[in-house]
Amino acid sequence: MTIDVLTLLANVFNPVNFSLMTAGVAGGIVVGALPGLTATMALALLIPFTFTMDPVPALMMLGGIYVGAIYGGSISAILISTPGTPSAIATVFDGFPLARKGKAEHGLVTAAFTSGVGGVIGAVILLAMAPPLARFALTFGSPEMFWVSIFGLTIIATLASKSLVKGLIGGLLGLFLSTIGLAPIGGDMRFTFGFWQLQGGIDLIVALIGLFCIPEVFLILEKKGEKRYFELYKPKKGVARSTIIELIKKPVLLLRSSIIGVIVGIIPGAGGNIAGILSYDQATRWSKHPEEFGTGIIDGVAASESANNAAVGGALVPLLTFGIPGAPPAAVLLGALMIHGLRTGTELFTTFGHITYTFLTALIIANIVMFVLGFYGARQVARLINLPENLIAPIVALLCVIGSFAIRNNMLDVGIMMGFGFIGYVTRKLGFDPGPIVLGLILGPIAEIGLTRSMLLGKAAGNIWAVFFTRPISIVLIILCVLSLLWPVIVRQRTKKRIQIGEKVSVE
Amino acid sequence: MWNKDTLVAIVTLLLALATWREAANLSELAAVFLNAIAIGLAIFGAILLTNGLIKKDKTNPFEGVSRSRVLTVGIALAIYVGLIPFIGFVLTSTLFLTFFFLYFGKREFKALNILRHILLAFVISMGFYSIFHYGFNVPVPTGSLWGFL
Repeated sequence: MTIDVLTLLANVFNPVNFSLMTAGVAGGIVVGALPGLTATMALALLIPFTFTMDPVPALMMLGGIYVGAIYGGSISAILISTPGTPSAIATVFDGFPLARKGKAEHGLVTAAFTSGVGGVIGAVILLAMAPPLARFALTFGSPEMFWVSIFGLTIIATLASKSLVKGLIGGLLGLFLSTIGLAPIGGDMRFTFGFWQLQGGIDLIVALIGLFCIPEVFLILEKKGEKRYFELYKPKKGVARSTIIELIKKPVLLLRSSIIGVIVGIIPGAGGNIAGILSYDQATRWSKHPEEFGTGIIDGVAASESANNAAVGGALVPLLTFGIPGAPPAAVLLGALMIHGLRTGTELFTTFGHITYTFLTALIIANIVMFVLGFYGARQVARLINLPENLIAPIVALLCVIGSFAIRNNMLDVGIMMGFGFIGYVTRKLGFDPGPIVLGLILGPIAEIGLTRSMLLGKAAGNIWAVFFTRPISIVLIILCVLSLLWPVIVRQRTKKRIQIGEKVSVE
Repeated sequence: MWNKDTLVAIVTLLLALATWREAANLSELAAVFLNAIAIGLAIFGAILLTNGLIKKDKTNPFEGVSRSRVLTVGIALAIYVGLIPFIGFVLTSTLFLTFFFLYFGKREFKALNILRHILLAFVISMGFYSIFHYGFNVPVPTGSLWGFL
């Protein structure tokens, strides 16, 4: 079946279709920016509006919501240190320090631009290479998933800026918290203390809000005196343009982050959150100034945002080709496809090709629309930082309560969130970063399922070690894990040598 | 002997012990991951304890922090979460916001100023309630005493 580009563009720019897609992007940004409301929730909330629509405008609107919500998560991550969606976890690391320095606009423009770039790259790769990529993703079994999670955990070396030992303890604490509830294999109940609400485990978003957001409420108000926690944002002309020019000069960072996003997005079970963290880690490792990461630089925001938006395209690869959602929002999209009578697989690219390719083209355009909205809205949104801090702090707490309650309609989650908040504040004072704890919480279930299933496979095959250490992809992942662990040591040695050479030269 | 690192190390070792004990009562498949975590916690807890004992770091992690302000924030947050199930989201949030505006603001306790802050707190609480409840059809906690608020 041949579909010409002009027909696709005519479908996308049809006034009704385009308006619905733009409304979807705007709605997605608003929902994504609110803590506790995820891209999955945004899609689930707005799917009923598409029931009566034709498939093309319906899918375009849902695609717009997905793209907008993933970007929207960065707004609250930058302004109040709360990832609006889990995908924006790594955006907090440099986005919030930027806002504290009075450079919220730099962070917001960076997020808008790099989200757009990542999203477009992800959508283009999806459009061009969906079937072969999906076949590759399906070669990942339980042992490979176990090694993927171990590779993810090696990032702690980057995230634990203050102390590696404390970072590792934080990561293990996160893994421990991920075991609360029903064991994924075996079905035993663990650490539920008689609360049936804990049987499903601790919700990631509840923990995220508690660990990142509540400590900020304390930190904003803990000191007496007139000095503000946030420096005042003073709008300057040309900030947005100069930030974008600076970002254009970093094509390797943008391309690498986007490719990481697409690859992680394709792997079922690993979504934008892991993509953002992995990409942030790689950006730190390849940077000439890794010590600047975490202090508020645009590179950190760019790495996270381009990866998490590229992961949208990645997550749609196995969805459209095999009906396997790469991430939770993609699972909701699968429901939408079924509602509109579209079956995933070859048919989607042949019989329903005109719908599918219009949707994929619309994803590219939706990213551009998202950039335009984010670019022009950045200055207005950044002004929020100038509100009195005795107003910001309680409003942040209020949003935390709504966000953590909305997940499961459960007051115990609010209590858990607050508990995480208190722990987060004390542990931060004791030299712990929240990043490794969250990383452990995200990767814990993937690691545990991978480990136990692989052990079962090994027992059945009569050789447990062979299952873990002899499969080709596993070997590649093990090598990556070793390299990832050795990399900081290599960099330290190189820096020492450079300093020694510098000292010699200056003495001569 | 006691500094922040040794304290954290002891808590870590206790957590390792609790994890190990919980794993002992579980089936093999449910326990294998917990055991690995317990071993990791024990190893790194021991390393941190050794570091803490050798370095004897005596810096105060709460230096420059107003303990009364931290306690006030902590207690206010705990009361806020504790009251919501009884008097509902809007009313509790109005009280909570008003307290923060007045206590951490310029502390001008004139009737008109208090009234102004109560009104602002109510508008903000009601605004967020409306956005989530009516706008997005997302559940917001309600109180057992007055229902919808």
